[in-house]
Amino acid sequence: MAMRRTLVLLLGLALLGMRAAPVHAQEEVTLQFVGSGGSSTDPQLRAVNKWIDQASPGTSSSAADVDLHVMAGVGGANQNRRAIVDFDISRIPRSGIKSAIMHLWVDTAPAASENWDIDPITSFISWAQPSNISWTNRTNQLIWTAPGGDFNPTLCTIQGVAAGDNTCDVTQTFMNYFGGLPPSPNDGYLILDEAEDAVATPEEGLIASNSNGTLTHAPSLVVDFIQQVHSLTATPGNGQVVLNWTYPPQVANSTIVNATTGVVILRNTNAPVEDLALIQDGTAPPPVDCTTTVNGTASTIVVFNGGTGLPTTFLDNTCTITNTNTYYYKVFAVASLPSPPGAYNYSQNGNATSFPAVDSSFAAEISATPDATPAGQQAPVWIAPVGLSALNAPSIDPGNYAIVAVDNFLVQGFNPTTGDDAIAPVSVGGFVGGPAGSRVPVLESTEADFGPSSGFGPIPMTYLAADDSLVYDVGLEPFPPAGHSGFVLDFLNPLGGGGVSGTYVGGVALQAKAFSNSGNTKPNDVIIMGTAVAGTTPTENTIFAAVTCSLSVAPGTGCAGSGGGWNISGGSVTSTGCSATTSAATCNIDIITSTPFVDYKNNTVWVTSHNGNSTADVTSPDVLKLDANSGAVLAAVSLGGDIDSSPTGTQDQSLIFVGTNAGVLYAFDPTATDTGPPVTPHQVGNPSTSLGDGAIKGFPLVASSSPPWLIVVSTTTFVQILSFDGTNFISLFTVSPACNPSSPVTGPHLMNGASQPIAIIGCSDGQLHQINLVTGADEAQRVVDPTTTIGDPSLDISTNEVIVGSTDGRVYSFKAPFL
Amino acid sequence: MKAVKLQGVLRHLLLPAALGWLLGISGCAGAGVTTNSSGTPGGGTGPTVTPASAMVSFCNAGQTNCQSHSANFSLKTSNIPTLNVKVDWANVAAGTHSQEMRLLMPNGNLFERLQNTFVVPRSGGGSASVNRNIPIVGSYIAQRQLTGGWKVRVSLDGKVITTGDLRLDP
Repeated sequence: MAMRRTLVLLLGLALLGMRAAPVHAQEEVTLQFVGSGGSSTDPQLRAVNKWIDQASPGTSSSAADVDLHVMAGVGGANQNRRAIVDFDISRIPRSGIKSAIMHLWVDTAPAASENWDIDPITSFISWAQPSNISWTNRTNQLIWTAPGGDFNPTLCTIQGVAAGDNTCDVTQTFMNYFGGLPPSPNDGYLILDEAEDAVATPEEGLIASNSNGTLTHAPSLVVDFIQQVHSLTATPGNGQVVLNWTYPPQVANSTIVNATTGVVILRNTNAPVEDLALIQDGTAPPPVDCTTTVNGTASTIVVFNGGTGLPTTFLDNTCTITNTNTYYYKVFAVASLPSPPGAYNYSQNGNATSFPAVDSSFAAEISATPDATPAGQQAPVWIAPVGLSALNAPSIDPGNYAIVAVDNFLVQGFNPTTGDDAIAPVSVGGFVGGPAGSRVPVLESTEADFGPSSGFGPIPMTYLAADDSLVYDVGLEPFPPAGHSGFVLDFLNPLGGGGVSGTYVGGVALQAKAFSNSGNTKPNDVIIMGTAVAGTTPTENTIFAAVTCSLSVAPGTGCAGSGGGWNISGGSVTSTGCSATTSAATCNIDIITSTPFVDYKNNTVWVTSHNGNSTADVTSPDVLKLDANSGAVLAAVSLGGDIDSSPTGTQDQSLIFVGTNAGVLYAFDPTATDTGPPVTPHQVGNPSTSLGDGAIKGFPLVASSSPPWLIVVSTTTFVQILSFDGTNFISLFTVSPACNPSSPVTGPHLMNGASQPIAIIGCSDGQLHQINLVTGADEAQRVVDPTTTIGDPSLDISTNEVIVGSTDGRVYSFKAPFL
Repeated sequence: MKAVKLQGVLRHLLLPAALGWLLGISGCAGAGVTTNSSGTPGGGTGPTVTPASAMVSFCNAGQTNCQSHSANFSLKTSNIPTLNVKVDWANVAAGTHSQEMRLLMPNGNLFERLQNTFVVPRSGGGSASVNRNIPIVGSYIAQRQLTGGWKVRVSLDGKVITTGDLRLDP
């Protein structure tokens, strides 16, 4: 009896221990189209399964069709049929993908033995418009480049399609979704017969759809993955670095395949751990001797924790650590395999010997610089890999989101405190323009007002323009343990084409209803931007505004009562120049490479542009002031050349500042104009003398809240600090950071240790620089990545953390001040 | 997998109705039949085929009579609004293809990826052209003076085919 009590007690303790231990593993989930999305465990809310018919190219298949048709037709007879399956993959967190197997249940097999290719679709399709997908169209407004679907014909083939369950390995594309180099958008898969147009008689097979009576027969995707560790931090000391991390929870309703036994940590010195630093899945890691490099890279393994328990911390002081070096770490979770003994899978994508040849898993990364003195000990708060150059400023919703839209067809959202995913990456249709002004606006759910017709409740929103000439509005639903996440709510096709590359350089300006006064007559939020369509003599660019309830830019159209959007196009020149009281512009409009500035107080929009680099040509202005409600040109002026930087206003919106490519600053009265013709905005005081160091980048930063106004601008090699007293610009400091500086950022509470206001810039020396606005000193730096150029920084004003991207494909967060 | 695919295609092509078509286009287009999607040889003992190839050329889209430069093209970032990159394809199999262009910075970092779908018709002789415009003026390339020797790496259906060199000066 005593022995039995002891056994029960031990069993109870063991169970208690099991409950207390974090669960982390190689997991498996099944994504499956289920009816109309009724499954609570896997809603697949934003999934698509369709079939398209060459014989009826403009017709979309019915949502009630129980089968998806795949058919090889006779050459020249236009009889081919293809199926489309696009899974909602937002349920799977950022992970190392181990396998992804697609299951297609064939109700009726082709009469002959056919081979079906499954290929990734390469153009944006809208989950919200499945009834518009056809042989010709991918959305209601957009057509395929190649009728029948745009795809990459490389993935996998079902050999000899037979009735019943057919499988295909789509691991390669799934690895790319979760951090390919660069990451790929998920636009679904096209299923087609290899023998299209090469058969004597049509060969058709039928795949069970989500409307099939047997739910288990609906298309499904079985994905094995190992989640990355979360909240990785590094604390540098004197000759040591301490790493800490956590393990994310198991995905709801996943199956444990192989338990995680710890992590393997790779380290590199003065450069990030290389993407080639891979360990072969199914093997033991290389020796942990701090000298054996991994897969031919410079990185070594500094720790490997296999065995019992899940470690969450590591003290790196056993390998040679030299103070003032910056050490970069990459942490992979490892899952123990049942055989062979000692073999593991790693939370990486790819293997050392197979596709992809580089790691693309977005594994957790961090860096730290140990030093003998606390002042020299540096580390970012977090690092988030995004896979591509990220020079545009991240957009911050303090405490909720750091939104990064880089040139990889994806919008990514990170928790600004931890760097962990806040949303699943959202696929958009083209790469996002990479200009100085392309910071995307972000609105919280209580701020966003996109009208009642969307069918969605209040959700956070962002807006961005992409290289396919479309403007996307993206819902930022938070990342849930199961279910859906960020998504494209709608898109705008203002140029009526789509696929026009190089259309946008500037970013989207937003006139949020929540921040507007009664003078804003629009019922919902409005997005405003300009095009950069360059030709031999570009004069016909367009400035447009769209009410977000319908994204119409046509005057008088849109949602009921909205009054619609507006657009003005250049190219209709009159003798009075660009000034007009109607919505039609009467001047040339050269390319617009800046983000418009919305004057909320006066309900006007200020736009800067190129003007053929002409001087004093009233028909080619470079500054336009528009009525935000109607688009009417209220005033316009040529300041004497091209302008790439955006206008800005003072905090009380009593002045508008413009900086030109000639390095000259101007101040304007936002409420006054000078009578023409042409009517011009009223200049306040005198312009500055040329700063003499090239164009003013980004925008003039107003760093004070009351006069005299403190203006900070970056030029080619300097950061220049000026004062404007209402009459003259007075140069205070010309700071030389010995590199090419980014646009500056500051904040109301961004002070150094002596309570002096500071600004932060990114630089081409791989560092962030802290500029003292009182003394003009470049007084402190933080090492980001010494081999790269650092982008425009953003500031989380709730934490004074500076978040910035780099050309190395990562986004970093550093606590400010640095000194 | 390539060999099996080839067999599957040939099975259909050897049907009488298709055989004449095969014989009729045994030149460039025929090469497409006996190659995989990237135009590389598909194996076996079939006729010798020419692999798909591409030529990358650049021009200033802001100039009248935009002149193409295929090698060692250099430009000043301060005065070119838009760089036009053109890829001329040859010996590509008929069908739908995916082109990827990667812009590599002088330090090797990946700056942009541009993807296009294009179709090579059966009667097209295996050639096609893809144009992309890349804004320069006002972009980070100009503002941050990301100058030096850039590379444009071009892939077809996931396989690297060629790389073009481009020099950007301040």
